[in-house]
Amino acid sequence: MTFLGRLWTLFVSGYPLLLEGLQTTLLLAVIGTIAGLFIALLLITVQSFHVMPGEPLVTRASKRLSARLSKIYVAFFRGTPMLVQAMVFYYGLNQMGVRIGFFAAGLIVVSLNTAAYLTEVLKAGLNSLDVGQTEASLSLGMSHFQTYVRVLLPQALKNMVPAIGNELIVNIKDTAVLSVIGVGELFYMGRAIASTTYRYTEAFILVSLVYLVTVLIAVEVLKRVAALFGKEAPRLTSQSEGLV
Amino acid sequence: MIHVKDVTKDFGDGNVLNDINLTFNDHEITVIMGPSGSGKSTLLRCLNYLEVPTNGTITVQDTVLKEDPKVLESVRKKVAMVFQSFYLFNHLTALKNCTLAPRRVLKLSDTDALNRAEDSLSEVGMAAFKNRKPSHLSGGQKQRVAIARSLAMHPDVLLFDEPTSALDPENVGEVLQTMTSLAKKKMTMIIVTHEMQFAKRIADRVIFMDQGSVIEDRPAKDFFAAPASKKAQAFLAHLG
Repeated sequence: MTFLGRLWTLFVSGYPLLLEGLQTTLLLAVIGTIAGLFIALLLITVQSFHVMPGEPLVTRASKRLSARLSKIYVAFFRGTPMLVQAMVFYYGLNQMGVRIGFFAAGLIVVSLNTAAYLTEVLKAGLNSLDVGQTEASLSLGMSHFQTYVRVLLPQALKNMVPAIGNELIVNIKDTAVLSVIGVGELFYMGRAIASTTYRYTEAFILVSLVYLVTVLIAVEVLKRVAALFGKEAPRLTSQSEGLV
Repeated sequence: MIHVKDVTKDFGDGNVLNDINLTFNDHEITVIMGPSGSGKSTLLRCLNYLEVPTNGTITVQDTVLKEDPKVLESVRKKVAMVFQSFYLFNHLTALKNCTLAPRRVLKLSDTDALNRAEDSLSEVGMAAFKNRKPSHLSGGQKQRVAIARSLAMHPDVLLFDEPTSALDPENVGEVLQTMTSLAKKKMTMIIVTHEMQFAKRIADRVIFMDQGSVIEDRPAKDFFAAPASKKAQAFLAHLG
């Protein structure tokens, strides 16, 4: 049988597993990115608190402390591999007696990881806004928090739509590492097919193709979403990869 | 009424403001002039504490300004500012630029805020553009919307920081015209500008600054008829 023929046979016999894996991968990537975005909003918000000398000491201290904790969080999750985080998280929780499923553990790790990256993305978005936006808002009597919520954040989020889409694409691929804690995503299913058929090369080429097609479709969808916001979508170029 | 007492501002590389003492009266139109780097914009920005003076006190209608959010928010809603580069909120339409602070700061109902915003936009002749985003407005139109955004707060004082300096020449006229019509209503206005003809036409009082100090502070008529200081004479001659 030719190589292509073996690939096809493998696909026909393995597609229910691949489909199941793809479904898990997409759930992890999509929910993880959305959850990560919400956590990132929280993390960047506490980093954006404005400390004024005229405020009570307790207020100032708690603002500074929460900003510091948020920065430590981001440094930890950006500074360690997601693979290692998954291990620590999964075994750590089990050791503490917290029983948690593979999928739930994977989803939490993806979300926490994405949150750290998107916090940096949002920070860049906020920093790119003209300081005049803040001054104009403050000069109207808006508080620093109102300025942040009503003026700065909406503009930063809109500018960051492509980068958020980029994070989704990264997550579709990077969730592969969660196979190490037994999450039944696409790569895990690929390994299962490989080890039962002993067709390693073909199985992983098959898995690559499924990833590629999925990512290409995601890029197209994101292009349309970004167009709704008047922004350019992420592309599969070195430049867009450079954003993460 | 705004009192400026013993105000200095130091940015680290020298004094930008030296010991400024001034009183701005209600219903008075004051124009602050002077060469660039003379500290006039800094002084204006001290009046609503966008710039915090190094020393001295600013008192706005009996409230002494300090770096306390409550104090600043309560004062700033009465002292509106128009900027050189407009700084309209880019994600909002002209109308929503004008309703945001009335709703969030003055806590007006949506209907009241909307009415105010529409009145303000009509006052500056921008009612027809209310649904446009800033990116679809010319410089002059943006500045008129920015003025409307300030007016919608029904402020006691309007601060203008070189409101026409960032405009193309053909857009300057419409903004000055808008400001002239506000001046006719005897609003309290403090204007930093280089537009001398405009200043002559509307100012009650001129403050001339140089190198961080007030050199002249006189009724506009007297100032333009015969500036006392050599600096001011040279400056006016230069502006022609």
